Formats: sequence, structure tokens, C-alpha cells
Amino acid sequence: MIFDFLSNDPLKALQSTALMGVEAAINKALEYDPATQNAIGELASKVLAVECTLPPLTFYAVHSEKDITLMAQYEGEPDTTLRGSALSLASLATDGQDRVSFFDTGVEVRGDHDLLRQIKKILKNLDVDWEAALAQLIGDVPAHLVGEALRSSANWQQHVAERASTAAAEFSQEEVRLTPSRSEVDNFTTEVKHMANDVDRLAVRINKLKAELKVQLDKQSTNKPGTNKQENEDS
Amino acid sequence: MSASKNPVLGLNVRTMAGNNTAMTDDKTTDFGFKTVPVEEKASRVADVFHSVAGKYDLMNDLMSGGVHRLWKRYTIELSGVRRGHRVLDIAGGTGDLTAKFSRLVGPTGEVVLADINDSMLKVGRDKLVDNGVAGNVRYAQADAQYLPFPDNTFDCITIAFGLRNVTDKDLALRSMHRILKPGGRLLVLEFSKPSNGLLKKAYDFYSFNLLPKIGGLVANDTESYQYLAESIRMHPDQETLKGMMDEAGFVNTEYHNMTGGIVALHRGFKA
Repeated sequence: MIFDFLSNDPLKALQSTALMGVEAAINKALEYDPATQNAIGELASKVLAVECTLPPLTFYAVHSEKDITLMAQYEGEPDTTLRGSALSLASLATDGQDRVSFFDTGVEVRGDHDLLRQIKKILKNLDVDWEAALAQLIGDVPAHLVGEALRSSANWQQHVAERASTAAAEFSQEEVRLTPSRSEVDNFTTEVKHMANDVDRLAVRINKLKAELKVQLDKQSTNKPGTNKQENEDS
Repeated sequence: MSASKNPVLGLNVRTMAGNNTAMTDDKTTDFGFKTVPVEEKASRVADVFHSVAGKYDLMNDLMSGGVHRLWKRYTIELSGVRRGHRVLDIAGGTGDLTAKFSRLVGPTGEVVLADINDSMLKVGRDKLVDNGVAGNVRYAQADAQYLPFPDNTFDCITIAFGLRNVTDKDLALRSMHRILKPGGRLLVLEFSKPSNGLLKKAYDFYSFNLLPKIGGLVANDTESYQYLAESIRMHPDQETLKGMMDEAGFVNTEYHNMTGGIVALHRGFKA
């Protein structure tokens, strides 16, 4: 019996169970990343509330000196509250940018923005030693072998992905002429830039000519017969 | 208090009614389904916990399938404990709640792990220290009926799976009420009465047939786990315990059934 199915509120029980699992996973991972653990310690007692609008889910991350507690309910006032869809929240967590403002992220931020910046910095620098974590479970040598296998598999996948990308580009550019080559795009971009500069210069010249023309017209209008007071008096 | 035949064991048992406690006029009380002199219960309960202390965590996981962690988690969430608070974890056992509270109250708060049983207290203290939970945790060997703390001391008091072992529950509730700060809250997490008849039958079968066997296999102690099952049946049901908390002076008392009422979390505030 993993879930508390017979609770009065099965959804809440499910949420609590999920939070308990996520919390355990995060805290276990933190044990293998001492730098991040220390950084979390600097946020001790700070509370981050996350209000996910889609799917509707709210939880609180209470930071302590060594780990994080995730709670479905918290009666105090959170230091920072995030509100947004799961997609925008996940995007904010993983974009790796040092933001001054969060206005264009789709996430509403209330409270201490600096706490959020610190958390983003921690997420950016996350470096969990998964091999050490695995070694705790299956021993050093098997963990190293698994680690090597995963690393070489990842390298192979990256290599294959790069090769596939290059081959697809070549086919598209050279064989079926669907897309231009890099040099063609570069030339085109340069020409567009030149044209943009030319248009800007032309716009400036036209504006200058318009200004000059306006001055000429003003002069002509002041020199018309009957408009000059002196001329009228002489005649 | 009334007597009835237990359908599973075929024993004469006393059941709770109204706001009565387990104490009888001739100074006897329940110890599981047995009736013992009041002064004997504490030592008998102590023997049980001396016996199971070493395997307490393992047995909790085995008996509940790990669900006791969810029950305790819900207790933490309803505790409202936050930084700077002072918390008393009575019958704290191996310190599951204390560990969490210690993180929540931070360096400016304080958690006191109290247990009447020195074996449990030692196991709990060793476990917490080994896990690096220190600095804001203190330990006290204390009887829940006569808590050795000044009036209005704690923001929150919890007693998880401990109240049913207390000889005079009313006295214990009054003692807890005394040391709570005004506005502070008491949380009682305890086995209770399942609301569903089918679940109750399955639960009875499990408690009286499987549980003692698991206890015998894992902790080499069938009797203690037989006592556990019996003491749960003798514990006041949800409404009775709520009434007892009201009697002790708590206000806004409420309870939350978990796992179909097998466990209930009672909460009350000091006005």
C-alpha cells in the first residue's frame, strides 16, 4: 500500500505522496552535490510557494540548512510566491538565465525576487554526482561501469545526432535545393543589411530634402506680392 | 464503560462510551484487553517499548506498508510549525516528527523530544544525532500526564501513536493544555475506528492474525504486537477523543480520518 487511497481526500493524499517522493529524491541528490547543499543552507528558513495554475497544484518548498521540505499546506507567509502554468514554471526553472525581471516569463512573482534569483542560480550550477549515488546502492565498480556505459552512450547519441543533422542539412541544400547553404544565407543576410543601411540613408536624405523644401516654400510665401508690408508702403 | 465480547479473540473487553476514560473506579485500567491496576500499566507499557525499541522503525514500515510516513507528513502540514517556533514531540519515539520539526523551526526555534521510555528515547536520540539533527533539539524523559515544563511554553505539541499507552488520558490532555501557549495547538495522531464495515473486518483480521506473526518473525516479540492490536481497540474512537479534548479545555477541536479511519488526526487549540 503505497498511496493512502482510503483518505477522505484521495487527490490530496496522492499529492502528498508525490511530494514526499520528490522531496526524498531531491534531498538524496543534494547529498551528492555538497556545493549545492551549502548554497541551499544559505536560504535556510526561506519559503517558496509554487502555485501551478495548469494543472492546479500548490506546494511550498521550505529550505533548511541541509535540505528541502515540500509541503502541500503551509500556514505562514511564504517569502516568495510563483504563479503560472506548469510549462512556464518549468521553463523558468530550466532556462539558465540570470534575470533581473521576470515579466516576460509567463510567471507571476510576488514577494522576495532575490530568493528566486538565488534558487535559479543554484539550479544553474547543479552538479550531482550520480555515480557516487549509484555506488551507494550497487557498489563502486558496478556504478563506475554503469556510469561509463551511460557516458559513452550519451557521447554516441550526441555524435549520431550531429551526424544526422549535418546529413539532413546537406541533403536539403545540395540534393533537393529546398534550403540555401550557409554561405548563401550569409550573403543574403549581408545584402539585406546593406539594403537596410541604404534605405536608412535614403530615408535620412528624403527627410533632409523635405526639410529644405519646406524652408524654400516658406521663403517663397514670404516674398509673394502683397505679403510684404514694406513693399505695400513703397507702392 | 461497557463490556462486550470481542468477535476476533472471543475475549471480554471493555469499550469506551461518551467521554469516559479507561480508568475504572477501583483504580484499574486497561492494558490491551486485560485489566490491570493503574500503577502497573506504565511499567507494562514500558516493557513493551523496551522490547520493540530496536526494531521500531522497521516494524512501523512493515506494519503500515510505509503509510505511517504519510500520516506523519499530514500531521506536520497541519501543525503550522514555522521558523522560531517551540515544539514538543511527546512519545516522540525514534524521532520522525522531531527531525522534520527541527528543520522547520530553524536555528531560532526549539524542538523537545519527550518519551517516558528511556530505551525509545536513546534510540531516537542516536538516530537523530547520526542523521545530523542537532543544535535545536533537546531530549526529555517525561510522563505525558505530568509534563515537566512551565505553563504557556510551546507553540505546538504533538503526540503520535502515544496517547493510547497513557494511563490517564484526561490528565495527560490537561497537562498538554497547560504548557501550550495561548493560540498554540495540540495534534494527536492515533489509531482509531475504521468507518467502513468491510474495512473494519479486514483490519481486525490483519491486526489479530497477521500483525502478531509479523512481530514474532521480525522483532521476535509476538506479545508486544498483540498488545498493540488490543490497545488500538481499547483507544477512544474519533468522537470520544474529540470530546475528551474539549473537556480538557481545547477549542476548535476537529479530527481528520486517514486510511478510512484506521488512523485519525485530532487537532485542538488553546484559547
